[in-house]
Amino acid sequence: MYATTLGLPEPLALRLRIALKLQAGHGYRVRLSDSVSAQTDLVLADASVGDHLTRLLGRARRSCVILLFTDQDGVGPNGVRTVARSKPLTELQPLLRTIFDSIREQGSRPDSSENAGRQGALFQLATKTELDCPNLRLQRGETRIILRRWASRVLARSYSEIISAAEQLNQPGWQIEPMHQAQVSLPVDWVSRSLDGFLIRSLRSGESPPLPVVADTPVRLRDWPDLGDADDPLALQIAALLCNRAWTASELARECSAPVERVSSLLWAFKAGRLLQNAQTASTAVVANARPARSTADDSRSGLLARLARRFGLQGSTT
Amino acid sequence: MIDPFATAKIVFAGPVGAGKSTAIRMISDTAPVSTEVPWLGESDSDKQTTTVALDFSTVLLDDETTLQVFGLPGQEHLAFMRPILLTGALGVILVLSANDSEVAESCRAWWTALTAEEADLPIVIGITHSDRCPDFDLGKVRAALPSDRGLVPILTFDPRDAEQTRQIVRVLLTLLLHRG
Repeated sequence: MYATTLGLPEPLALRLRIALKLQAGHGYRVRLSDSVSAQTDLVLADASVGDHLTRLLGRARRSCVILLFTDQDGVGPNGVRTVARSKPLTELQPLLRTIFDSIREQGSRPDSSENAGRQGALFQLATKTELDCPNLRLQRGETRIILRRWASRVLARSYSEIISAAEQLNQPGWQIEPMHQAQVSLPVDWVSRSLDGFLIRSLRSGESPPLPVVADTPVRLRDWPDLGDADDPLALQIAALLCNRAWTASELARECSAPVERVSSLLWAFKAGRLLQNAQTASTAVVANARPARSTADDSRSGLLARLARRFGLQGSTT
Repeated sequence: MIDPFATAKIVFAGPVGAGKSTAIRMISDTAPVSTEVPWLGESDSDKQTTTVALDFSTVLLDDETTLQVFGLPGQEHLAFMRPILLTGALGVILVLSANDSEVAESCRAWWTALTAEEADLPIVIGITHSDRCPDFDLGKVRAALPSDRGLVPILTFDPRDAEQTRQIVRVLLTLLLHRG
């Protein structure tokens, strides 16, 4: 990430430098400069720079975020967000984290210039709001499928076509078009499978370009994913965790001892299946840890459940 | 003293023809004891027998512990069996068929009946026959359940596939483990 500070009073500039360095804890390496360029992601300017700012921003890219420091929080001229100069470090640090999360997510959208046309269908389903409709028709070459997104189903002429579509899903070149209600007459001889299982299967294709890492903001499940035919123990483990409270991708990766990229891919799949919702803040681990003191019966039950879990091949089932 | 944890029990419930007996057979170590009689229902179904009292089989965990697997009869006139078989169960797998045009309503009715026996009974819902039903809508089944119990796992599966049936059991176990 590239940030620029302009005309800030020294105590505020110092707090901001510390807050920017602390972003490393969330995976953001921020390079600070005192001039705006085409690479700049964030401009932190004092309101006193006035018209000078507009001129400088002419050199910045359109998606650059501006924070203007004034006497109070609010919205300034041209809709620019204003932040009080007196804001302490404890508030600046999470504010910057939220901004960097949104910049990263924005930057990874397929319609941003650097990614245009390179992302596959799963990523588009997860990020494009215009594709959030009941039925979609997808085609890539000879492969044709219908996604009944609101019904959590995928339809094709045969199972092999569904498997083939899953293997290609994260490659570019898919034509995706919403099916309007009037067009929808579902072919009665087509086969139907779980959409969630299909999306998870698509992550296994080694030929697809890697998906970007999701923003490290807390999310939780809206519905349990249909994992009946999804042979992915990590997906089940993550679903169970997201069911109880909100987690970020990095928290899930730590909890499951899995690479954050793997966790992130599964979160994209859940997102494409309309299963995830953002949570404003991740609750603490109180829910998971706030269990009453264990009795002997509890211990016996836990031991029994652990043996059952092992017997049925459940991974990550320590109690 | 008898150790109640030396034997565990899970129960498969659901209407006639959903696939409970097949699912139980797929996960069991022993051939299930079934009370099956010839099926005299719709002739266009693959179903040749139906259970009229219960299914029972076991899964051996180790030398000391056995998992008992029961199947509730689906017929309404055998509903009196439910409290008997549900007593002491770790959880229930409710099996429904996507072939049923009123699967969402059936899900709600079974959910109500099962939770009336034990309010916080862990329940996982497994839906069969969905592969040949292009109209099947999982969203409608999700919406049919009350929201006061949090998220309820609803999965589609093929009861003839041992791995998919084990996956349903894994989800039930995941629920139990996360309850602590």
